[in-house]
Amino acid sequence: MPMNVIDRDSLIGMVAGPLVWTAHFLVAYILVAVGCAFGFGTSGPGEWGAVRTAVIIASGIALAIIAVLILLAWRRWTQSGGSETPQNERQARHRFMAVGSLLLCFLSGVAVVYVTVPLFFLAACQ
Amino acid sequence: MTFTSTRQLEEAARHDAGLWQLREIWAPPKGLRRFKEINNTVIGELYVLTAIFFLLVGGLLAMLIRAQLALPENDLLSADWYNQIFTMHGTTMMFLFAVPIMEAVAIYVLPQMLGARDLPFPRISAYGYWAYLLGGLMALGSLLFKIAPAGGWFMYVPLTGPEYSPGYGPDFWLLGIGFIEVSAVAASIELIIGILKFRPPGMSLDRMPIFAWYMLVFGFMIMFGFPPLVLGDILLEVERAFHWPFYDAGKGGDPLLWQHLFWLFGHPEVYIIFLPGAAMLSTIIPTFARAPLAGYVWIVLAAVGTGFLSFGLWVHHMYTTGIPMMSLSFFSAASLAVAIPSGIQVFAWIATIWSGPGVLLKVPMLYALGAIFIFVAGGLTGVMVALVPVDFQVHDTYFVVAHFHYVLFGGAVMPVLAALHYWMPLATGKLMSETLGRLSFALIFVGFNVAFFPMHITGLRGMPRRVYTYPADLGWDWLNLVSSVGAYMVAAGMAVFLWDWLYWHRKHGRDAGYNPWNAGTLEWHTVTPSSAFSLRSVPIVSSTYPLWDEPGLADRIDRGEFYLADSPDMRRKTLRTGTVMGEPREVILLPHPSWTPLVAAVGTASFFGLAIFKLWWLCAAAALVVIAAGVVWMWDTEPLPEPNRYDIGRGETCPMHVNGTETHGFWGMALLVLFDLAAFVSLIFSLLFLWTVNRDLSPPVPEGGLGWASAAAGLVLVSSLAFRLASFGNRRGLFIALVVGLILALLAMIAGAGAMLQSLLVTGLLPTQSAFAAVYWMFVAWTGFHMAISTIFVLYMLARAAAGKVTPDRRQSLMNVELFWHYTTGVAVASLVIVHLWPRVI
Repeated sequence: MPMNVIDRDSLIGMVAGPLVWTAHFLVAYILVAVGCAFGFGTSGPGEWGAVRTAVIIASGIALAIIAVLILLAWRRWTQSGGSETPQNERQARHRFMAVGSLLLCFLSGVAVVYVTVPLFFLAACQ
Repeated sequence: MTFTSTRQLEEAARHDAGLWQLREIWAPPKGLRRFKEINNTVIGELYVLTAIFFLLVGGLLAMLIRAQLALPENDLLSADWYNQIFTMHGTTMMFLFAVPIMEAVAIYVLPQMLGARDLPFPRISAYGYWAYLLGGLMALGSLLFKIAPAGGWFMYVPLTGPEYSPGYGPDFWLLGIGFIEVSAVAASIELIIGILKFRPPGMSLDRMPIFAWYMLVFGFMIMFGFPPLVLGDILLEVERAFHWPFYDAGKGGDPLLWQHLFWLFGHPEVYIIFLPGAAMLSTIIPTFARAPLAGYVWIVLAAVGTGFLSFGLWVHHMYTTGIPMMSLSFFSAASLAVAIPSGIQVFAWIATIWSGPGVLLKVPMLYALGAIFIFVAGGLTGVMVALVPVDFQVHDTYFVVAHFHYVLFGGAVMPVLAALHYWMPLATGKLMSETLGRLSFALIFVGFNVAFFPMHITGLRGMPRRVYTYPADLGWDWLNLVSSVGAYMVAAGMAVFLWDWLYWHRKHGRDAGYNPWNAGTLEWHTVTPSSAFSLRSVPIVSSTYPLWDEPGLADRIDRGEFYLADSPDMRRKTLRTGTVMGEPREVILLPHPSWTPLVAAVGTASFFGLAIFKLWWLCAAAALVVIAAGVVWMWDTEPLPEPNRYDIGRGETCPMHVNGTETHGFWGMALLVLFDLAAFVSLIFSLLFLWTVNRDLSPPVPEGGLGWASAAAGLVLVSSLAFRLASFGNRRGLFIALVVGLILALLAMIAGAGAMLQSLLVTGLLPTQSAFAAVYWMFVAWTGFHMAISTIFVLYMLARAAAGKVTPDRRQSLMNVELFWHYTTGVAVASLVIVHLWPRVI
């Protein structure tokens, strides 16, 4: 079933990468908001704390999922002829959907990394 | 041969029965009955005109602001009057101009671009337009009596709460603007379904005009961006009218909740405005660069990526509110990430210009280039204010005013001016003046930079926003004067534009004839002005730029060689096609002109207008008018012609009525539910937010309500089951099962509503006593509202069943209602769990 959803010509499959980004962003936001409210975070620059660990784990999971999505999109791209001139309409469309989801996955990956970077420099509830 | 003049078209219609039929059935009614018309060209034109009228009003308010600020210690406007004026300037520009003009242009131009006769729900477009016009006039009317809202376009509480704004001002805003959101939702449903299902055969997703891709993202962004504002509006209005303390810090509420809900809408809103602007640029630039858009798939990535990322930016308006630094950094990161897709678009536009044989610097292209220049400058300061430390310094100063005017003027106003020059021939058949266009462009472009560039410096020198005057000798005097001079230059440019747009080109403009810009997209396939039915026959296309890549196509469309070239039964219709590949699936019978959209809009406007003055009985009467109009509206849907096949031409036939989840009706309901769900999730967010900020005040446990709550949950689940049985019975042709099932469902739902009310009444929690109690009651009220709508729907379905309009072959209305019914059940169960179980668990 999951393979069908992210199959060639589904619009939802095309935006799978950004959906992962959305989920990760929400998880990070909620973890920090709730974690700080309940005292799981830290406020000193040198301290680490549970909230940071949790968000970084979430980032790891999100990046792993995006990596899988990239592999799937890459495979679809090569299957639809890669960089050769498309033979027919069908192939052109598959190619378009594959490249679209590939690029969106890259963008989502970069955005997840952006969100993760400050975790290494800031205490969670400062 | 392609028609090159309207005379040839007239001539041809005399000998061609099919063409005559199309012209006859699509001709708008004459005289006063013209207001019955629902066709996208008529509604689109009215929509554009109205939006430009509101732009003018917003511009006049801006002129007053600049007159007041031109000199230090000016007393042209009083402080309160100034507050009303800048509030209404922002409100008018954002809600009454920027979003509606994008919907307006899309409603006008998309069907022609997509080779469709109209959008899927023309009456909803018409209703949305009238709602917009009336709501806008209502909101602006408050200015005439000097009782307009004065709390800024973002209406921050507690300033706009019952204590500090006791007058009617905020109510005009909340109810007037709340009402306009109805039209935004209507338009977004139209556009999404129109783009996904009403494309011509052969126009697969990878060949869609780029404009359509952008508008698709635009539609979905409204779906998710507007609900938080709708909810925030409702909460604030209920706080003002009934003293439920959602935002009252003294009773466990939080003013920041408003800011979250507002900006959860407000930041995506900026991109809701920018993406259609970018869509216009991405359409206009290839035409004048005489080259296909460079990096089509990259632009799609940019549009979709921006659509997503823009939902992760809202807190960057709230950097200075004391949110934990880590949370701020997430939003800073997302704000920087969104620069990537924005940059990609700009590079793609430059590459397009580069790849062509040279640019034709006609007026639309001048405006497009001006847009890129201004937008990039605004984007660069955007990267600056995305950084938390920079924003700390410039927050609420004129630096930010400069930044967002650059972004919005470059991202929306200039593209709209480009688009109006570009597409006007479709409406009037005339070209706008090159000379006047160049003059208006020069005045507006130079004037804009003269007005807004100095504001960066004024801001860095510390001038705060929203002050009605300032002392002399703080280093702001000459900068403000220069800004005012620039603003008046923009006004002069707008006057030149309006003169040409409204009068000159219609009287003296050159005939545009066939495809005046030599564009590649379908809306230019025939002689201008275009017909109300868009195109003679629905073509099969095989390229993104059919007019460039497929010689002879335009001619064959005009000769009626493709689908639906006539209409012997004299009914308006268009073709529904597959979402991904665009193959013909169904002939859609489109509605003919009708008064119901206008009546329903007047009813809705009366409802909101009367609510401002708390005249609840009259409100109820207005609601009845809306319901009555709705029933008349819907009664004739689902016609079932016999036989259910229609000859669409080229030896092919299509059904005229299809049941199922792929139909546009079902998608319409599904999108409505999605929108509603987003608002419900915003309510859940509100509760969780209040919970995290109120660590010393735990949510009260509703003692003693658990029994009633279980009963309520059981009853609504039974009602859903009964509905399932009804629709199962209908499919089997068992009329009795249908009727009994619906009545059972109805009774169970009403009993469930009673039990749910009782479950909170027995606890003795009053909505006015604390913010938590108010939110609990809001969950009940929210569910109750949905139950009431569901009940009306089922009574309507029973009436349809009695009239023999619900049969195994005609079950689409029933399916749509069933979807809403199960959704209501879901809302009820979720609300009961949240109110009664959640406080016990935490």
